[in-house]
Amino acid sequence: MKVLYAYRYGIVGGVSTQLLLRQQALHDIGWLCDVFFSQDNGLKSVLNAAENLGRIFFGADVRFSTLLKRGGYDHVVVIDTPELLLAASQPRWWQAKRKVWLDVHTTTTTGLSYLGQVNLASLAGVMVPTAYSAELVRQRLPAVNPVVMPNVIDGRVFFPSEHASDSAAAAVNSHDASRLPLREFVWVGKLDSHKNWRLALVYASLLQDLFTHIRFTLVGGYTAPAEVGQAFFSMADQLGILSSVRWVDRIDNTLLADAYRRCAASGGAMVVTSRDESFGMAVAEALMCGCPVISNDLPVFREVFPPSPMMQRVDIWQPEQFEQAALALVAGVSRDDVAAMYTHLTNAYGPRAFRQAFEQPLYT
Amino acid sequence: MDNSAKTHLIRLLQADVESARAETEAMRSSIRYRLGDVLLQALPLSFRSFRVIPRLLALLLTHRRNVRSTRSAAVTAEHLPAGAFQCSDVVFKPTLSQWLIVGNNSWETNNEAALLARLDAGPVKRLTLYAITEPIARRLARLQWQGCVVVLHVSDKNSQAPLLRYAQALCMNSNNGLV
Repeated sequence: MKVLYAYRYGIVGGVSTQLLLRQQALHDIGWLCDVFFSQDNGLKSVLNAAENLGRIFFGADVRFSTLLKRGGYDHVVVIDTPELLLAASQPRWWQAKRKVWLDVHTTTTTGLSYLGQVNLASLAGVMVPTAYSAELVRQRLPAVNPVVMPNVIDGRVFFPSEHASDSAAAAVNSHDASRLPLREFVWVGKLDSHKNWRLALVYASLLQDLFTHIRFTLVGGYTAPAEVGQAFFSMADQLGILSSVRWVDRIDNTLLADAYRRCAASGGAMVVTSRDESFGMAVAEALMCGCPVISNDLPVFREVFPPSPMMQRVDIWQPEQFEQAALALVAGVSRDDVAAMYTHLTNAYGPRAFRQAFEQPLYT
Repeated sequence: MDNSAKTHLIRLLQADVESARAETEAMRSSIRYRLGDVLLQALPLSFRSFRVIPRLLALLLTHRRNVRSTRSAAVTAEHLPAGAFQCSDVVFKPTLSQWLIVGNNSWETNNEAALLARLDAGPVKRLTLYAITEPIARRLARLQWQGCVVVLHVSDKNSQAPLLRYAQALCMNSNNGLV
């Protein structure tokens, strides 16, 4: 079976990284799976550095139409990119027949607006990562019944620390500054309105007021425009958190997993301020590493993540709720909670679960 | 609600207003919005509608020129001298007259775009800065995570205060780049 995934943005993280994980999951069972990105938004240099460019193509090097012509793909899955969808759905008469799928990952109103112009007759079907996303698609395309294709989480990189234990949490909670001097918090996402980075900075100031010694690391925003970067530093300055905040514009997954484990060991947490999500990959990865999460109470998170002391759901417009959740972290999470979450996520969102879900519509 | 919660709620709301303002600003300055704006000025259709044609052309030409000048000003890793990659010590000094390779292991540059291209292309062991800008500041924590030692020789007059304070805090908090 030959599959091509195509997406506009080649960024480090988000949907781009998800496609690479799906590619690996399909390679593992002997399928040929190529990935095409129209733009390189920083991903190529990261893949080059890791000597992992394999069957990943960028628009600057190869035209999408050429790839389609030469690849002889049985299935082409296009993610939220109407121009690629159009190109994939109109094969020349001499080209092999292929099935074209639309995979919808965006959840914003603006992002979903292209669905109104999609020619459904040319599609084999629509895929989505969650039932929540399926509902968003149905609201715009009532005739469509999307197939839920769960995201893949990389359990080889994201796993809890072997040294994590109840006693480690107790050491943090005893405020023994000589052993663990500060609590680490992490926030992951692009620096845009959707991920609500400004709220993250406000909550960093709240956490600093609450715990005094904190380190708040924001991961992402490599492609953020210069004016956003300026706004970031200026707001951090106004809030008096310049010395507690750290902006890591892009990062290798191995280092990110280390950061989650450090957060967990320090009695800190991941903070999620997103207005909406289609799945919550970063949250899932943090939880896999044993890092508790204080998150905006999004419907999709109730679908993907089971109830657990590791997941504190709050209304992000209620600072008192956030404060309570942060203080609840002082009680720590048990090893059993960490293990139960890890087992649930690897079973529900491991490569095997994805392959099973992926094969079903393709062979139907 | 206590005073602390009230203060933070006010900050949250201010942040949200700022977020909406920035999003509106970005949309209004986009080429799609501006083209649409000019096109709408042609309505209702009449002889006066033809007046928008030169405005549309001017807008498109300016946009194209700006995109080209941005591209030509961009420095990618391919533009850098090969020696830049063999050097693990990188120095950014705007007062230099040119790019230099000093000794076997140090590459000095006065060109910010070249510096950024080098920092994004591969590992750097030591980065010495004589000035700091926003694009450099946003890369510092990443470099430290990758094991780079950042050395600051920046005077206040060469950089904006928040950027410098941020960089100083990073250097103070890091332990030779290992966190």
